[in-house]
Amino acid sequence: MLAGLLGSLLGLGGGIIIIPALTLVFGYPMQAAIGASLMAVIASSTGSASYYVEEGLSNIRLGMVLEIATTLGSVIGALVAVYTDQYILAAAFGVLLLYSAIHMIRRPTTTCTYKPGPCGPLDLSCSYTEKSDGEKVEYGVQKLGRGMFASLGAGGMSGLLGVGGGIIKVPVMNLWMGVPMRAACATSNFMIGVTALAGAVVYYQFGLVQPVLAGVVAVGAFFGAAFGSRVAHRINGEQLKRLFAVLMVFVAALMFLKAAGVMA
Amino acid sequence: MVLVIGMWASMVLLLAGLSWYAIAPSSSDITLGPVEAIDALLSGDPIGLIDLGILFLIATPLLRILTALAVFAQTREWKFVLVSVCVLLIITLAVFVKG
Repeated sequence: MLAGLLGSLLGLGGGIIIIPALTLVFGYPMQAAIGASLMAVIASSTGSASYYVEEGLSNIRLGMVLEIATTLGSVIGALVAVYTDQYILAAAFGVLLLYSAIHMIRRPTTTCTYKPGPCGPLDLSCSYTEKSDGEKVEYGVQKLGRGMFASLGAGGMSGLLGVGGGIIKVPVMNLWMGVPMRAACATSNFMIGVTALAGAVVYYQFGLVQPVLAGVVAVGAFFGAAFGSRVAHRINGEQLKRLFAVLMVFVAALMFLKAAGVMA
Repeated sequence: MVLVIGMWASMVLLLAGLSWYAIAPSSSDITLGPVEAIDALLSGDPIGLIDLGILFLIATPLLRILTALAVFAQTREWKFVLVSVCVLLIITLAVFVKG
């Protein structure tokens, strides 16, 4: 529940919190923790995805196209994880935590924008209305090839490490493809459930999803995320992000110790 | 709407299964698959109900792709129909990967 709550407050998938908790605190093997985390990612993202779709913020056409790459990456990542030593997975997760910590405290970079129009054979242009001032925001999407390549990596990370992959998808859509930040976050959220599903199916087929553990984690993440989305506007997100970034560096160090066999 | 219904259905199944498990713990904690989960449920094993909840949870984003596919077909956006079919094929591929 804490993972879902913090995830929605910090704009993260719950996996970043769930996996260290399950492996470092409760002593579960990495693969079991990843299997459970993917269920939590589906549970916490699905509720908010439906909200963003109804609000018209998600670029569904772009999301579907990028999902070809993220689902493929997720299946490949999950297959690699199934056959990878859990100490190597712990080290990879430590690297992901460090990257996430840097990403959280970094200042936002200026977004480039494109006029609506076709992007290769597809027109992925979209628009949404800003709730605050009623302004209609129209944008075009470019550099689909680069976006697809990065999405393959984001999907691979999701399947390999049990996270949503939004930490890659959002900046890629925003900085490279010209999607406004709010639409990029909503589109990423729309994609996360399907990306996690592709990896989760592999873990399920390999018997790496422990039903009780996955059930508890999914239910907690779902209700935590639902509560978090309601209280998010009352909390100073920037302060919380900085504090959490420091905690992530500490947890990354613990994951490296686990990878080195120093910790159980 | 599809997402919300699927999500709540899986949450209800998971909460019921976990509550049942808390009262009468099962000796096993492995995923069973849809047919075996129903068999386990009928024979009074809470893992069957939890596993069904997990399968509902997994199926919810899948329903979302099917819905998008239907909408694209209805609006005759054939390129996006093809895109949706590609995503479905990749997920189907994952189903047939067995340990």
